[in-house]
Amino acid sequence: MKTLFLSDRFRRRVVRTLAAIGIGAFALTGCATADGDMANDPFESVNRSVFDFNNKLDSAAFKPVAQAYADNVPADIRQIVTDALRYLKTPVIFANDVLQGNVDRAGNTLFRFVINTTIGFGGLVDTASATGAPYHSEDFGQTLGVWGVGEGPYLVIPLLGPMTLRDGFGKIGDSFIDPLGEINETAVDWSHRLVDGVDRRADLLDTLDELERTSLDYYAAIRSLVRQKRNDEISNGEGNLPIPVPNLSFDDEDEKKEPAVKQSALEIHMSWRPGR
Amino acid sequence: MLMSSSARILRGAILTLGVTFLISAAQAAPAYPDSGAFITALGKRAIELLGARGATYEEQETRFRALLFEGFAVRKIGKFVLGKYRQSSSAGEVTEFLHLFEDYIVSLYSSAFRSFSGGTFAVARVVKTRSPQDTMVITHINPDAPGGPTKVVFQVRNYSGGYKILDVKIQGISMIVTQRDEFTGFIRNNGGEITPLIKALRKKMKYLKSRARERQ
Repeated sequence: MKTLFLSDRFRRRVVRTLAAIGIGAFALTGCATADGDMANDPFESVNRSVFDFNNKLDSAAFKPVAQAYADNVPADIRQIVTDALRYLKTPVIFANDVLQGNVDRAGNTLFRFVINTTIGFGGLVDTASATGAPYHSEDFGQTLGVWGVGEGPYLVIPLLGPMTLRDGFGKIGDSFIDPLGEINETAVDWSHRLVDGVDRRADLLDTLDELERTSLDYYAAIRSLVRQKRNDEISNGEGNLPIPVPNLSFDDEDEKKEPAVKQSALEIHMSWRPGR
Repeated sequence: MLMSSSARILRGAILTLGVTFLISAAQAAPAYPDSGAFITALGKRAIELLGARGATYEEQETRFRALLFEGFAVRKIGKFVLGKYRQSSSAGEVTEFLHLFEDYIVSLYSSAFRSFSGGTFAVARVVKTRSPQDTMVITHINPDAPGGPTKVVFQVRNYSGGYKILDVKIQGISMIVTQRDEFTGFIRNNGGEITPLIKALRKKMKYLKSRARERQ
């Protein structure tokens, strides 16, 4: 029985790994033919098609479910779900804290685990945050980034959504670390994924709606956001480098043309209109 | 009747004096000792302005536009977001784009600031950069929120005439990088020309304005 269990698990992971390597090989081939464009999106045409497909699926299924969840489940209960899901990620976060050699954050994760297991009712309430140990996310994709692995080309995977090749490999790495992967119950595995997906989608309802309404190219905006968000997570929110905006002479001329003082006076004048 | 006229004249005189004084103050050299103080003052004014009761949406937006032009290097941002396509476009096209972009950025940024209205705002620290002109001003919105503060970082450039914001990073997401990636992505996907972008921007602004009027 044990042999069968190991065999099933092993087979599942081998299939995942082979699939990833297949994607990786395909992607790296594409890299060789990429024109060095900043977007690093050699499969843009295919990616856009998959993105459209995912969006249609999202509109038809995921978004309504997430909206119903956000509308009908009280905020306190949703918070418990979020806290519980985060608690279940503790082993993956801790392992990646250690792999990144970040002793402080590993200590934080351990402290959070002890506090939330005990006075947090088995992980249902994030008591640790209130004691000054806030939640942070870590995964193997971030660890690869810390180790200096390049992000690779941008990919949009059916159902899973956008990610870089590095994060694709990161997900496989995490599946080896995650103890939930040891549970050989498809129902448990998929229930966890489903709840996690709904919880994350519900969090993004307003943000994504607003972005879709205001953007000129939703695909390109999401591509940029995914990359920037991941870079921010890799730097643990400490990437405060300035964006290199060149200071060309004709730009400076433009700055002089910008009617700062005049506009300021206008604004003050307007705020002093009688009857205001 | 006489009392009423006198009161009106007096009120007008006080108003004129007040406006003259404020315009003079605005025309004086910037009174901010550093970029952190500049951001604090600007942020407070933006939050007050967008949270002001009684003002219509149009009035708020007009005042926000003035504040945005005062605090942000709007034209420089407009040129930055065109990326490499700025150089391959004609001066007329760039000017037309910049004109539309100004409206777009006002709509976008006022919406972003509006989402923070009612919150508390504090400068956490100011970080020097390699460029002697630029500093990063790190601010926290709602520092005491249970999930932690929202980190907003302003990239501020020091011009001889005062400070201007080049970029706002909200939780690690740069506004100008997102716009540049989006706009250049759009141009690349539409034949490498700026004209389709201008058309799309005009259409988008029409939509955003009608939506704003509906929401009012």
